[in-house]
Amino acid sequence: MVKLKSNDDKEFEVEEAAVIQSEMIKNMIEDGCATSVIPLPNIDSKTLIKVIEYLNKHINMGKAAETGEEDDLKEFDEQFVNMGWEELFDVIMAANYLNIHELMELCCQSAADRLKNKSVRAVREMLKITNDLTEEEEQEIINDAPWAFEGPEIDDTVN
Amino acid sequence: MENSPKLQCNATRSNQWKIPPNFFQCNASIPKGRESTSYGLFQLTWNEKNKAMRSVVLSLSLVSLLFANVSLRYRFRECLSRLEFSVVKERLKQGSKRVASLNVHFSVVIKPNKKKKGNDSNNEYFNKLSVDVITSIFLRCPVKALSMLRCTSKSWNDLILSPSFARSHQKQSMKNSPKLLSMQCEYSKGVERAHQLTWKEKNKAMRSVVLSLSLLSSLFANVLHAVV
Repeated sequence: MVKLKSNDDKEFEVEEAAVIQSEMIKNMIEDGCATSVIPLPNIDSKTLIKVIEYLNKHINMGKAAETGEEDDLKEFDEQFVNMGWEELFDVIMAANYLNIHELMELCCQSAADRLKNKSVRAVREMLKITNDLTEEEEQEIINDAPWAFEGPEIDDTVN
Repeated sequence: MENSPKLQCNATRSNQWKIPPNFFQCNASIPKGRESTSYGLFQLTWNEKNKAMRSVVLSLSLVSLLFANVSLRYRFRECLSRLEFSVVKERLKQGSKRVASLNVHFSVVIKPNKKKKGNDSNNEYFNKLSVDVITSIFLRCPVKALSMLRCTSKSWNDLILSPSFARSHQKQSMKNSPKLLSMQCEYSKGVERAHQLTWKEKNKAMRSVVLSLSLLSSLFANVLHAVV
């Protein structure tokens, strides 16, 4: 078992087989630096719980294909990324820090899919981005690729 | 000049030696929330009694320029990003009254005032993310979405246009392309457009099919290009 400590001083025990999906922790274990608690100063407990949930579910990734659990895992992934923007970004940053390739892939893909067909206005509103482009600059960008701003799939709703 | 936002400067005529407090008046209306450039011309004129006054007048004009500068800067202190003055013409009018006049050309760039109280939470989600993370999200977006995402903010636009991002995006989409034939247009800021055809080759028998498809698609791309 490996002990992880979040930035709000909560400790979590995770099976080594699960936690080595994180390249960072795997390296630490290999270097013999993981004998006591591993502090994770960038990750709060709420996010860490999510990450551990993912790691535990994906512990037997290799076996999943053989045992026909692939669909089950897919469903879990779909459910897993069903969270708010802020939470999603927290998980992405944790995955980036811990270097968990699969989780990073999953969450970034989900973020990209959510942004994909959104209108500019909707993206700004969802992510609370202030527009710092001038009208001329904006027009220039639109003129570069006017086809990107048209189409029935463009969604102006915020969610 | 008539279409540009109005920024009028009136230099009132000074009484020889004294510079009245309202020597320099500036009336300006600036559209809010937009960067704008205003050009203007203002003329400083004053009576010249005799030739000995000339140097006095000239130094006065310099003082008034300085004054104008300070006054403009003060008025737009929070949003002024550039203020340039240049003396266009200096001439001595002949006539019943001898008048020295100085034409000054100026341009002011006024930026939208970004500092709004209680608005510090702007960009809160994306500000937390490092460029690495944003990049890895953008890498998974299709070109169409990226073209549109450029419009959200300056930093996104810069990131998406950067050559290193374009390269990684190309690599990523090649890796992920599950389709038999996918056509990708890589845009760049200028006119140059490169397109790339990628496909998965399942077996050698497919090769000729793929090749003929590629010919067809390059024809397609050609037409597309002409349209775009």
